[in-house]
Amino acid sequence: MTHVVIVDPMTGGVTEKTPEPTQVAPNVNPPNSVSYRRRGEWQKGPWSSGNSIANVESNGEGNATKIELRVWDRLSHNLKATIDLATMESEAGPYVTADGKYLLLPGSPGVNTSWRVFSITNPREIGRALLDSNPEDICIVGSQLFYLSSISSTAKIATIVLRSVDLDSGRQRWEHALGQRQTGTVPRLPQ
Amino acid sequence: MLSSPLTRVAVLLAVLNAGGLLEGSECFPKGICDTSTHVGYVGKEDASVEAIGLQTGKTLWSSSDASDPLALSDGLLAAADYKLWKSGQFTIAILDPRTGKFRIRSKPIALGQSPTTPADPPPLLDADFEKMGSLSAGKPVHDTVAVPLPRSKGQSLCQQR
Repeated sequence: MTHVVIVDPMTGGVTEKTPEPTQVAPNVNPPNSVSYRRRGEWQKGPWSSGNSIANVESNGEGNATKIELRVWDRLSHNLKATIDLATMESEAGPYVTADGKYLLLPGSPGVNTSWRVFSITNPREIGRALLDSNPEDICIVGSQLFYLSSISSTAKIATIVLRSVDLDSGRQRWEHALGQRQTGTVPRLPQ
Repeated sequence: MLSSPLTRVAVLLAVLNAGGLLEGSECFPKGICDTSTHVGYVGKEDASVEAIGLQTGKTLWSSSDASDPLALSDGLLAAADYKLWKSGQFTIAILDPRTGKFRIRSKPIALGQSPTTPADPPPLLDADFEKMGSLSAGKPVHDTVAVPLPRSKGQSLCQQR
């Protein structure tokens, strides 16, 4: 269900508008699609970003299975790039930023995990970043990566910290506490 | 995750603007950022808004007039305020992105449903500024397709552009 609300910032007036019929994209979900995390949920299948469509797919069988990032032109549907993501070292799975512009792939799990960062609009690996465990809300702006991490204060309370990482060096640039939150649930594992 | 069977709802919010639209607004954790001024606007855990310098991480200003930055335009920052959410309503506060100074608050917006427990999160909002006069009859208010998603507490409001 979608509400459409128009706000006039001069008067504070609010107008509700009858929503247009929602355009539903055809459910094209290749059977070899690999689950990824986006907007706090596990998802599977192609996503669009600008003039590109991307998907994470597995290729091959058994020990020879490869994970690939595939990017197509949105209009012509021509394949623009196939990027080998190698084997999945971590159970955390790939991560797609909310704007769909970037895919991140975690390395071996640890206190600080090295994540490979791939651009979708210009399909290539653009850098690596050392992130805390369980990063959330990853966004990339220019050469900076921003994300939220959670530091447990007690069993039920965590401090939420906004962190900035320089993609050129892969190192943290700064951190900024956003306050404390009651510990929530983690996203469900891919089904 | 939602702890009660609230209807999944998304709100497309168009804030009219007679001035220029901002091209440099980008996705940011729990908010939005302006790449032209290198400032990020985030919703804090205490339901306030803070402006942060992207290069330094330093606080530039904070405001308790709103809790979730949603959209940015030339001289206007639209942010949701959920102080009325117990009764199923929220408001949109317009702030000055340079100073955080409060400008105006919208009338309460009701979604026809109320949270059943205090833990129920507010709805997912997808907002953008639209040039005044561009909302003619028959023209979609928003270019993006709303994706109705539940939002866990503290989850990003990053927008797909």
